[in-house]
Amino acid sequence: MESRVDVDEVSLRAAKYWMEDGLVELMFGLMMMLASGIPLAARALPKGSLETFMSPFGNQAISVASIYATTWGLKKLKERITYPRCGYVAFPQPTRKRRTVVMGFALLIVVAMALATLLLADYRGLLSRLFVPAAAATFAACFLAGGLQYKQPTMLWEAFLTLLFATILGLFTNLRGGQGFEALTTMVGVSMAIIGAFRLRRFLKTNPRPRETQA
Amino acid sequence: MSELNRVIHEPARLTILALLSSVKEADFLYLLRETGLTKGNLSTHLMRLEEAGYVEIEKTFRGKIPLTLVRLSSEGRAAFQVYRKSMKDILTPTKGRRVPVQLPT
Repeated sequence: MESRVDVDEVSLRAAKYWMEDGLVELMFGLMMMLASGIPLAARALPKGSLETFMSPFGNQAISVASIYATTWGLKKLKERITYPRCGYVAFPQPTRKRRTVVMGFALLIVVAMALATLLLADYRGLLSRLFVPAAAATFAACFLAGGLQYKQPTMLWEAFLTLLFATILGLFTNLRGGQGFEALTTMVGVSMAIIGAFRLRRFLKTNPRPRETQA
Repeated sequence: MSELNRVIHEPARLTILALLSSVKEADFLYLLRETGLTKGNLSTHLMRLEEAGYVEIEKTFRGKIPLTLVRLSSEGRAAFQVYRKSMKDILTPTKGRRVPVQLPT
Protein backbone atom coordinates (compact mmCIF):
# COMPACT_ATOMS: atom_id res chain seq x y z
CA MET A 1 0.00 0.00 0.00
CA GLU A 2 1.26 3.46 -0.88
CA SER A 3 2.00 5.80 1.99
CA ARG A 4 0.04 8.67 0.41
CA VAL A 5 -3.68 8.05 0.06
CA ASP A 6 -5.83 9.93 -2.44
CA VAL A 7 -9.00 9.95 -0.37
CA ASP A 8 -11.17 11.34 -3.18
CA GLU A 9 -10.05 8.60 -5.56
CA VAL A 10 -10.55 5.87 -2.95
CA SER A 11 -14.04 7.16 -2.13
CA LEU A 12 -15.01 6.74 -5.81
CA ARG A 13 -13.82 3.14 -5.99
CA ALA A 14 -17.08 1.64 -4.74
CA ALA A 15 -19.02 3.29 -7.58
CA LYS A 16 -16.39 2.11 -10.09
CA TYR A 17 -16.54 -1.38 -8.62
CA TRP A 18 -20.33 -1.39 -9.02
CA MET A 19 -19.92 -0.75 -12.75
CA GLU A 20 -16.84 -2.92 -13.30
CA ASP A 21 -18.62 -6.22 -14.02
CA GLY A 22 -20.81 -4.69 -16.76
CA LEU A 23 -23.99 -6.10 -15.19
CA VAL A 24 -25.48 -2.65 -14.58
CA GLU A 25 -25.07 -1.69 -18.24
CA LEU A 26 -26.29 -5.09 -19.39
CA MET A 27 -29.45 -5.04 -17.28
CA PHE A 28 -30.16 -1.35 -17.85
CA GLY A 29 -29.76 -1.95 -21.58
CA LEU A 30 -32.16 -4.90 -21.39
CA MET A 31 -34.64 -2.76 -19.49
CA MET A 32 -34.53 -0.08 -22.21
CA MET A 33 -34.84 -2.71 -24.92
CA LEU A 34 -37.87 -4.32 -23.28
CA ALA A 35 -39.61 -1.10 -22.28
CA SER A 36 -39.27 0.50 -25.73
CA GLY A 37 -38.62 -2.38 -28.09
CA ILE A 38 -41.81 -4.34 -27.34
CA PRO A 39 -44.22 -1.41 -27.95
CA LEU A 40 -42.24 -0.47 -31.06
CA ALA A 41 -42.36 -4.02 -32.42
CA ALA A 42 -46.05 -4.38 -31.52
CA ARG A 43 -46.85 -1.17 -33.37
CA ALA A 44 -45.11 -2.46 -36.47
CA LEU A 45 -47.25 -5.61 -36.51
CA PRO A 46 -50.74 -5.68 -38.04
CA LYS A 47 -53.58 -4.92 -35.63
CA GLY A 48 -54.58 -7.97 -33.67
CA SER A 49 -53.68 -9.71 -30.46
CA LEU A 50 -50.75 -7.39 -29.72
CA GLU A 51 -52.91 -4.30 -30.05
CA THR A 52 -53.09 -3.92 -26.29
CA PHE A 53 -49.38 -3.15 -26.18
CA MET A 54 -50.03 -0.03 -28.18
CA SER A 55 -52.40 1.39 -25.62
CA PRO A 56 -50.87 3.78 -23.06
CA PHE A 57 -51.78 1.39 -20.26
CA GLY A 58 -50.02 -1.51 -21.99
CA ASN A 59 -46.86 0.56 -22.50
CA GLN A 60 -46.82 1.66 -18.86
CA ALA A 61 -47.31 -1.92 -17.69
CA ILE A 62 -44.40 -3.09 -19.87
CA SER A 63 -42.18 -0.27 -18.57
CA VAL A 64 -42.95 -0.99 -14.91
CA ALA A 65 -42.56 -4.76 -15.41
CA SER A 66 -39.20 -4.21 -17.19
CA ILE A 67 -37.90 -2.02 -14.36
CA TYR A 68 -38.87 -4.55 -11.68
CA ALA A 69 -37.63 -7.56 -13.64
CA THR A 70 -34.23 -6.08 -14.47
CA THR A 71 -33.72 -4.70 -10.95
CA TRP A 72 -34.47 -8.14 -9.53
CA GLY A 73 -32.24 -9.75 -12.17
CA LEU A 74 -29.38 -7.37 -11.41
CA LYS A 75 -29.56 -8.16 -7.69
CA LYS A 76 -29.56 -11.92 -8.33
CA LEU A 77 -26.70 -11.76 -10.86
CA LYS A 78 -24.59 -9.61 -8.53
CA GLU A 79 -25.13 -12.17 -5.76
CA ARG A 80 -24.21 -15.04 -8.05
CA ILE A 81 -21.38 -13.55 -10.13
CA THR A 82 -19.78 -10.51 -8.51
CA TYR A 83 -19.96 -10.89 -4.73
CA PRO A 84 -18.38 -14.38 -4.54
CA ARG A 85 -15.49 -13.22 -6.74
CA CYS A 86 -14.65 -9.74 -5.55
CA GLY A 87 -16.77 -9.00 -2.48
CA TYR A 88 -20.05 -7.52 -1.44
CA VAL A 89 -20.88 -3.82 -1.31
CA ALA A 90 -24.18 -2.18 -0.42
CA PHE A 91 -24.91 1.45 -1.09
CA PRO A 92 -26.92 3.69 1.24
CA GLN A 93 -30.55 4.22 0.28
CA PRO A 94 -31.35 7.77 -0.81
CA THR A 95 -32.81 9.89 1.96
CA ARG A 96 -36.47 10.93 1.89
CA LYS A 97 -35.41 14.51 1.11
CA ARG A 98 -33.35 13.41 -1.88
CA ARG A 99 -36.12 11.16 -3.17
CA THR A 100 -38.60 14.03 -2.87
CA VAL A 101 -36.28 16.35 -4.80
CA VAL A 102 -35.77 13.77 -7.59
CA MET A 103 -39.51 13.01 -7.81
CA GLY A 104 -40.31 16.72 -7.82
CA PHE A 105 -37.82 17.35 -10.61
CA ALA A 106 -39.23 14.46 -12.68
CA LEU A 107 -42.77 15.75 -12.14
CA LEU A 108 -41.65 19.22 -13.18
CA ILE A 109 -40.28 17.87 -16.46
CA VAL A 110 -43.50 15.94 -17.18
CA VAL A 111 -45.65 19.02 -16.41
CA ALA A 112 -43.39 21.22 -18.55
CA MET A 113 -43.66 18.77 -21.46
CA ALA A 114 -47.45 18.55 -21.10
CA LEU A 115 -47.75 22.34 -20.97
CA ALA A 116 -45.47 22.74 -23.97
CA THR A 117 -47.62 20.27 -25.94
CA LEU A 118 -50.80 22.15 -25.01
CA LEU A 119 -49.52 25.70 -25.44
CA LEU A 120 -47.58 25.00 -28.60
CA ALA A 121 -50.27 22.90 -30.31
CA ASP A 122 -49.72 24.82 -33.55
CA TYR A 123 -46.10 23.74 -33.56
CA ARG A 124 -46.83 20.05 -32.92
CA GLY A 125 -44.89 19.00 -36.02
CA LEU A 126 -41.84 20.95 -34.93
CA LEU A 127 -42.07 19.59 -31.38
CA SER A 128 -42.37 16.08 -32.72
CA ARG A 129 -39.21 16.59 -34.80
CA LEU A 130 -37.33 18.09 -31.84
CA PHE A 131 -38.36 15.35 -29.41
CA VAL A 132 -35.73 12.76 -30.43
CA PRO A 133 -32.78 15.22 -30.59
CA ALA A 134 -33.80 16.65 -27.19
CA ALA A 135 -34.05 13.16 -25.66
CA ALA A 136 -30.72 12.16 -27.22
CA ALA A 137 -29.05 15.30 -25.87
CA THR A 138 -30.43 14.55 -22.38
CA PHE A 139 -29.28 10.91 -22.49
CA ALA A 140 -25.85 11.91 -23.82
CA ALA A 141 -25.46 14.58 -21.11
CA CYS A 142 -26.32 12.02 -18.43
CA PHE A 143 -23.82 9.48 -19.84
CA LEU A 144 -21.18 12.18 -20.17
CA ALA A 145 -21.66 13.42 -16.61
CA GLY A 146 -21.60 9.88 -15.20
CA GLY A 147 -18.59 8.90 -17.29
CA LEU A 148 -16.56 11.90 -16.22
CA GLN A 149 -17.57 11.73 -12.55
CA TYR A 150 -16.90 8.01 -12.14
CA LYS A 151 -14.15 7.81 -14.78
CA GLN A 152 -16.02 5.29 -16.95
CA PRO A 153 -14.83 5.43 -20.60
CA THR A 154 -17.66 3.15 -21.74
CA MET A 155 -20.21 5.76 -20.63
CA LEU A 156 -18.47 8.31 -22.87
CA TRP A 157 -18.84 5.84 -25.74
CA GLU A 158 -22.51 5.47 -24.89
CA ALA A 159 -22.91 9.25 -25.04
CA PHE A 160 -21.33 9.28 -28.48
CA LEU A 161 -23.44 6.34 -29.68
CA THR A 162 -26.66 7.99 -28.44
CA LEU A 163 -25.95 11.09 -30.52
CA LEU A 164 -24.98 8.89 -33.48
CA PHE A 165 -28.25 6.92 -33.25
CA ALA A 166 -30.28 10.13 -33.05
CA THR A 167 -28.50 11.42 -36.16
CA ILE A 168 -29.20 8.16 -38.02
CA LEU A 169 -32.88 8.27 -37.00
CA GLY A 170 -33.17 11.90 -38.05
CA LEU A 171 -31.45 11.48 -41.40
CA PHE A 172 -32.52 8.04 -42.59
CA THR A 173 -35.95 7.32 -41.05
CA ASN A 174 -39.33 8.96 -40.70
CA LEU A 175 -39.64 8.05 -37.02
CA ARG A 176 -40.54 11.16 -35.02
CA GLY A 177 -42.03 11.94 -31.62
CA GLY A 178 -42.94 8.95 -29.44
CA GLN A 179 -42.02 6.36 -32.07
CA GLY A 180 -38.67 8.01 -32.66
CA PHE A 181 -38.05 8.07 -28.92
CA GLU A 182 -38.86 4.37 -28.62
CA ALA A 183 -36.53 3.57 -31.51
CA LEU A 184 -33.75 5.66 -29.97
CA THR A 185 -34.20 4.06 -26.55
CA THR A 186 -34.17 0.59 -28.08
CA MET A 187 -30.95 1.33 -29.99
CA VAL A 188 -29.28 2.80 -26.90
CA GLY A 189 -30.48 -0.21 -24.90
CA VAL A 190 -28.98 -2.65 -27.43
CA SER A 191 -25.64 -0.80 -27.42
CA MET A 192 -25.57 -0.72 -23.60
CA ALA A 193 -26.37 -4.42 -23.38
CA ILE A 194 -23.58 -5.26 -25.85
CA ILE A 195 -21.04 -3.09 -24.01
CA GLY A 196 -22.18 -4.61 -20.70
CA ALA A 197 -21.81 -8.15 -22.07
CA PHE A 198 -18.23 -7.41 -23.20
CA ARG A 199 -17.38 -5.94 -19.79
CA LEU A 200 -18.90 -8.94 -18.04
CA ARG A 201 -16.84 -11.30 -20.20
CA ARG A 202 -13.65 -9.41 -19.32
CA PHE A 203 -14.61 -9.34 -15.63
CA LEU A 204 -15.17 -13.11 -15.59
CA LYS A 205 -11.83 -13.70 -17.31
CA THR A 206 -9.85 -11.53 -14.91
CA ASN A 207 -11.71 -12.65 -11.79
CA PRO A 208 -12.15 -16.42 -11.73
CA ARG A 209 -14.40 -17.72 -8.96
CA PRO A 210 -12.18 -18.50 -5.94
CA ARG A 211 -12.55 -21.68 -3.92
CA GLU A 212 -12.25 -19.83 -0.63
CA THR A 213 -14.29 -16.63 -0.59
CA GLN A 214 -13.89 -15.51 2.99
CA ALA A 215 -11.17 -14.93 5.57
CA MET B 1 0.04 17.71 12.63
CA SER B 2 -0.80 17.33 16.31
CA GLU B 3 -4.51 17.97 15.47
CA LEU B 4 -4.67 14.95 13.19
CA ASN B 5 -6.31 11.77 14.43
CA ARG B 6 -3.47 9.23 14.63
CA VAL B 7 -5.82 6.24 14.33
CA ILE B 8 -7.09 7.50 10.98
CA HIS B 9 -3.83 9.00 9.74
CA GLU B 10 -2.26 5.57 9.15
CA PRO B 11 -2.52 4.95 5.33
CA ALA B 12 -4.14 1.50 5.52
CA ARG B 13 -6.79 2.61 8.00
CA LEU B 14 -7.38 5.82 6.07
CA THR B 15 -7.98 3.75 2.92
CA ILE B 16 -10.42 1.47 4.78
CA LEU B 17 -12.36 4.44 6.13
CA ALA B 18 -12.39 6.18 2.73
CA LEU B 19 -13.73 2.99 1.13
CA LEU B 20 -16.42 2.60 3.77
CA SER B 21 -17.36 6.28 3.69
CA SER B 22 -19.13 5.93 0.33
CA VAL B 23 -21.00 2.69 1.05
CA LYS B 24 -23.56 1.45 3.52
CA GLU B 25 -21.59 -1.72 4.23
CA ALA B 26 -18.96 -3.92 2.60
CA ASP B 27 -17.58 -7.37 3.26
CA PHE B 28 -14.07 -8.47 4.13
CA LEU B 29 -13.36 -9.76 0.62
CA TYR B 30 -14.15 -6.39 -0.96
CA LEU B 31 -11.91 -4.54 1.49
CA LEU B 32 -9.17 -7.11 0.93
CA ARG B 33 -9.31 -6.56 -2.83
CA GLU B 34 -9.46 -2.77 -2.73
CA THR B 35 -6.84 -2.16 -0.04
CA GLY B 36 -4.34 -4.73 -1.32
CA LEU B 37 -3.55 -5.74 2.26
CA THR B 38 -3.02 -9.29 3.47
CA LYS B 39 -5.83 -10.94 5.42
CA GLY B 40 -3.89 -10.67 8.67
CA ASN B 41 -3.04 -7.02 8.16
CA LEU B 42 -6.60 -6.13 7.24
CA SER B 43 -7.96 -7.96 10.28
CA THR B 44 -5.53 -6.10 12.56
CA HIS B 45 -6.45 -2.71 11.12
CA LEU B 46 -10.16 -3.48 11.34
CA MET B 47 -9.77 -4.52 14.98
CA ARG B 48 -7.95 -1.26 15.71
CA LEU B 49 -10.75 0.73 14.06
CA GLU B 50 -13.38 -1.28 15.91
CA GLU B 51 -11.63 -0.61 19.23
CA ALA B 52 -11.70 3.09 18.43
CA GLY B 53 -15.45 2.78 17.73
CA TYR B 54 -15.07 3.86 14.11
CA VAL B 55 -16.36 0.69 12.44
CA GLU B 56 -18.93 -1.95 13.27
CA ILE B 57 -18.12 -5.54 12.37
CA GLU B 58 -20.84 -8.12 11.97
CA LYS B 59 -20.01 -11.78 11.48
CA THR B 60 -22.77 -13.66 9.71
CA PHE B 61 -23.36 -16.31 7.03
CA ARG B 62 -24.50 -16.17 3.41
CA GLY B 63 -25.83 -19.66 2.98
CA LYS B 64 -23.03 -21.81 4.38
CA ILE B 65 -20.26 -19.30 3.65
CA PRO B 66 -19.08 -17.09 6.52
CA LEU B 67 -19.50 -13.41 5.80
CA THR B 68 -17.82 -10.54 7.63
CA LEU B 69 -19.67 -7.28 7.12
CA VAL B 70 -18.02 -3.99 7.98
CA ARG B 71 -19.71 -0.62 8.19
CA LEU B 72 -18.70 2.83 9.34
CA SER B 73 -20.22 3.88 12.65
CA SER B 74 -21.68 7.37 13.05
CA GLU B 75 -18.70 8.18 15.27
CA GLY B 76 -16.34 6.91 12.59
CA ARG B 77 -18.07 8.95 9.89
CA ALA B 78 -17.81 12.10 12.00
CA ALA B 79 -14.13 11.42 12.82
CA PHE B 80 -13.37 10.80 9.14
CA GLN B 81 -15.02 14.07 8.12
CA VAL B 82 -13.09 15.97 10.80
CA TYR B 83 -9.87 14.33 9.60
CA ARG B 84 -10.55 15.28 5.97
CA LYS B 85 -11.28 18.86 6.96
CA SER B 86 -8.09 19.04 9.03
CA MET B 87 -6.06 17.70 6.10
CA LYS B 88 -7.64 20.20 3.73
CA ASP B 89 -6.87 23.04 6.14
CA ILE B 90 -3.27 21.94 6.38
CA LEU B 91 -2.76 21.40 2.65
CA THR B 92 -4.74 24.42 1.35
CA PRO B 93 -2.81 27.65 1.82
CA THR B 94 -5.01 30.31 3.43
CA LYS B 95 -5.43 33.49 1.41
CA GLY B 96 -2.96 36.08 2.58
CA ARG B 97 -1.13 33.71 4.90
CA ARG B 98 2.55 33.47 4.07
CA VAL B 99 4.82 30.69 5.07
CA PRO B 100 8.03 32.16 6.52
CA VAL B 101 11.12 30.95 4.71
CA GLN B 102 14.58 31.36 6.12
CA LEU B 103 17.16 31.96 3.46
CA PRO B 104 20.75 30.88 4.12
CA THR B 105 23.01 33.77 4.96
